[in-house]
Amino acid sequence: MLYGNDVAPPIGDYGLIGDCRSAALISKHGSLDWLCWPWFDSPSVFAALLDIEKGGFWRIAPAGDYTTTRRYIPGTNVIETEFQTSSGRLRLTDCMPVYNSDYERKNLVPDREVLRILECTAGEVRLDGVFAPAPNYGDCRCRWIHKPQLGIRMEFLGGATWLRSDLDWQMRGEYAFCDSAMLAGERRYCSMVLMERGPAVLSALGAWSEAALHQTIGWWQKWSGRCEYQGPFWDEVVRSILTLKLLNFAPSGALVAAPTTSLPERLGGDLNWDYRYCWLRDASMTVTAGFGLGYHDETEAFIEWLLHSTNLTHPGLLPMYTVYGKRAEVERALSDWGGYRHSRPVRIGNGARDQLQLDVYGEVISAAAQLDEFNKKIDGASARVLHGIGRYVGEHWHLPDKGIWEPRRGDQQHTHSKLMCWVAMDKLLKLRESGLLKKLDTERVKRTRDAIAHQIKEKAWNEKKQTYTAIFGGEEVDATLLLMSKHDFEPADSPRMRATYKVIREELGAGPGLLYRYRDNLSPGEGAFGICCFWAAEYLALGGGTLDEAETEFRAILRYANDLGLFGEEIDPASGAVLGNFPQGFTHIGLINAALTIAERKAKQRNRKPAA
Amino acid sequence: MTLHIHWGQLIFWGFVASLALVGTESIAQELGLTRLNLPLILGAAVTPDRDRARALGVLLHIVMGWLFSLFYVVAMSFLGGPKWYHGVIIGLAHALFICVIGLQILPGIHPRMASETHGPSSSRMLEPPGFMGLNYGVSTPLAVFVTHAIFGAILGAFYR
Repeated sequence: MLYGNDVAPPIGDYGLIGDCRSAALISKHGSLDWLCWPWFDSPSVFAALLDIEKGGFWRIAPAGDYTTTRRYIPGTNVIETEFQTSSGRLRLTDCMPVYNSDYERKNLVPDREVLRILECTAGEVRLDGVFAPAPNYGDCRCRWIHKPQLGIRMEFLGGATWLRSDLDWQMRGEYAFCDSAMLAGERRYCSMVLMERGPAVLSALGAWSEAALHQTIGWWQKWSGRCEYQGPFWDEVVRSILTLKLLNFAPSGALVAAPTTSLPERLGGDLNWDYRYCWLRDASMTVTAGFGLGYHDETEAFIEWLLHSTNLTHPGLLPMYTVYGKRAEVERALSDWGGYRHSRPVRIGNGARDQLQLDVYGEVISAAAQLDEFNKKIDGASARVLHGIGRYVGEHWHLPDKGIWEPRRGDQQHTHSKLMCWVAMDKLLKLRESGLLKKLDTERVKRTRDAIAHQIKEKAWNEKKQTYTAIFGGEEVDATLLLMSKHDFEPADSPRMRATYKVIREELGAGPGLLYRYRDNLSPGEGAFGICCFWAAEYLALGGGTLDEAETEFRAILRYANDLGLFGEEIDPASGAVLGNFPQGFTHIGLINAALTIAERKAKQRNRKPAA
Repeated sequence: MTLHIHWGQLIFWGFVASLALVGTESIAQELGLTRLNLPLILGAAVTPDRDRARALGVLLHIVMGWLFSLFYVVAMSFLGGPKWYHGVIIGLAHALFICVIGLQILPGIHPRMASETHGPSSSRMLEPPGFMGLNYGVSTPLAVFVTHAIFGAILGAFYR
């Protein structure tokens, strides 16, 4: 078997590299098993993660047995994997080069490149390299040509890739292999470039690739060096913001939820969705994380994208958009693909694209309102968008909807959706108080806000069970109820919130630090939900518990990150394994916000002590 | 034989034909027929900055289109005057020259283009077109022929 294994490795065995336009997953075994080129939501070039035979992969590893250790070069998204074999040691450095603009002006650089540098650091290592791309989800006829001085070209409808290397790659049918041996001190280069609409820029390898690596490390370290965070869990926070930056589509400012599709929420099950789109449901939390860490330019660009790239559907908002603000692709299944460890179907596009999700309105308004909180301007065009969205909420807040978790079933009166409608109205009023949105019908908005609050307090509170519930008049709880305090609807230390937290812990708890998002007949087999775990830590830090409790909770969740510090969407409570699309922006946003809240609480306690 | 050039017509229709040439080339790229991007190749001869190269290349391509318009007008006069099909014949001949000779010698004269013989170096990294431009896709010759036939047809049909 060309891939060398029956199934793809555990999801947590992967690390992510990228260039803020697309991203690649590389396993501990040096196999690049996922890459959609040229954009996040483009068809895949490598996708062995979802089908080891049809998907395509690019492995560079030692032949025979080995052990691996790996790390991100500090402050970067460049992965170094060390392979130890019985005869020697090999270091593989993987990145997708990014350059500062001055360098790009002075040098012709490839549009898109994956650069893999090998160095034998001890003894002798024989390689086991396989280069087997499969463009367009493996459904593309390719034309392979080997030009001795230029490299291996693979041409397909819509573009071409070139593999260049100073190692000896030999073509064999529709793949290339390399079994060269490397001796201690040798350093070799492999570069794959893509060009869609023009001649490719081919890497000159050697010093040229060293310069590309140097530029990339410098670019990432400069970027991560801008992080203003000084609080606890610094390493994890910086790794999280670096991961979010990998999910950021720089040309438009959008942020994709994850770079993958169809990694299962339930191993072997059918909860497999395409996450290569930009969801609005985490907009305000993203903005809090971005501003909180000092990334003002990126955060403002994201808000700009939120308000203006989505204008094709205004004043209505869709749950998700493409990186350019278009509707997500119609959902379809790659019916002949095996899926990640037999988790089928593999889905492309997202069927939730047309759902009514009222929470997104509050998210967008709350995100934009943070511009004012951080003393940024809201221009006239943005103000008009906010007015429009506000009017829409005023007219539609009472409707049942699908809610944040997008179940593929009927609409219901979700408490979280109502909460976010309340947030929308509340934030609009706060903006008006700040002297913005002068045309706002304050009385009407106030009436709507109060009516929503009344409904939540009356209909979402279950007196018998002593808890807020996920839907009006319901019995079940949902982790989103913890956000009531974050959004200033109900203080974290209020009796109602403390009681709700207790029920959530009892009913949704999945072990130390772990929480399910909800439990119902759809849930069995699903893992604990990453961001919900961080919401619990944040709730405690907001006043629902002591600082110690919040930190303990936070630390407990951190144990479930992979060796590179990456989180997926969910965590299998039994094994601790990563589930769902990977890495997941939502989870890393939760981590950053919880850390920020813990740091704030810590600072408050510090300031209080001298006075006492 | 005396040849009278109507400069105003030549400048106007030469410009229109050049725009059509750049436009149809661009459409051919979008359709995935070819990666031959003459604006990028021309601009990259002047600057390594890809964005500037593309913009500058469009201007250079239009200026060259004007110069070639003069050649087309002269050539059409030898065929019996401007007619759309005379323009197409000259366009096809021009395309044949580009594919067989022009693209072949390009790596030798382009300061940033790699050669098939020596491979890329730190100063010459642009993928060479190869015979008939086939490195840029198997449909490249077709795209070159069609776009230049359109260029010639416009000049032949409208230049008077």
